[in-house]
Amino acid sequence: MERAEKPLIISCGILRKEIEHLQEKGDIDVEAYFLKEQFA
Amino acid sequence: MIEKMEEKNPLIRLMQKFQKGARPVTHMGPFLPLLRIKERGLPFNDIMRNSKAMTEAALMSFEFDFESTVLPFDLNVEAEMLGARVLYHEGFDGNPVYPTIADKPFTTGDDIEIPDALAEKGRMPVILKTIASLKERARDKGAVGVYIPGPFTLAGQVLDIDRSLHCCRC
Repeated sequence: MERAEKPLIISCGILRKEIEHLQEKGDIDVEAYFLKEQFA
Repeated sequence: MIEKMEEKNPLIRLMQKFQKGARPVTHMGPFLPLLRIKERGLPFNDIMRNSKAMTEAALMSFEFDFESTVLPFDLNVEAEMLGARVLYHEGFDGNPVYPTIADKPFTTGDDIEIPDALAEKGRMPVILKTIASLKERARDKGAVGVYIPGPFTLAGQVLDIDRSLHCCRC
């Protein structure tokens, strides 16, 4: 049986703290992938 | 070692899930093939605000062998949910023109209020319906995504640009 997949957020890393805060609060139930802020 | 890294990276996992050839073929932003849209008789402004037309346009990504699609709406959806009025245009010189913000609803950052029941505001019901429809119709074809503007873009859409720059303190 296939497991239920969470939505994936692909975001600029500059929003990492804000998105992780929403995850910790339980406001959003997602996986997150952060791009590097300076694309380095 | 590389396989373990890829297992942990949710973006690579998602691309590999739908990968058909030697490399993933995906796009992260909205993709609108204008000639194909004209051939199908889909009015551009309907694609921005009608679930059926938006779904049909989004499915075209798979006709071009992409392994993902992104809902092809404009960047004004969030601003509209906060109270900005969106203006739809008839096009120019035979080419479509994306909708623009007609009125900015707030004067200062302190005026901004996030309304309750966001899922019922503006075009969000249309977008949620389109996501559900695409996830069903594209089940085996590829990933379904949406593009969300960042907070600075959104501030510029709902506030006077000079005032929104004043909100930024270095």
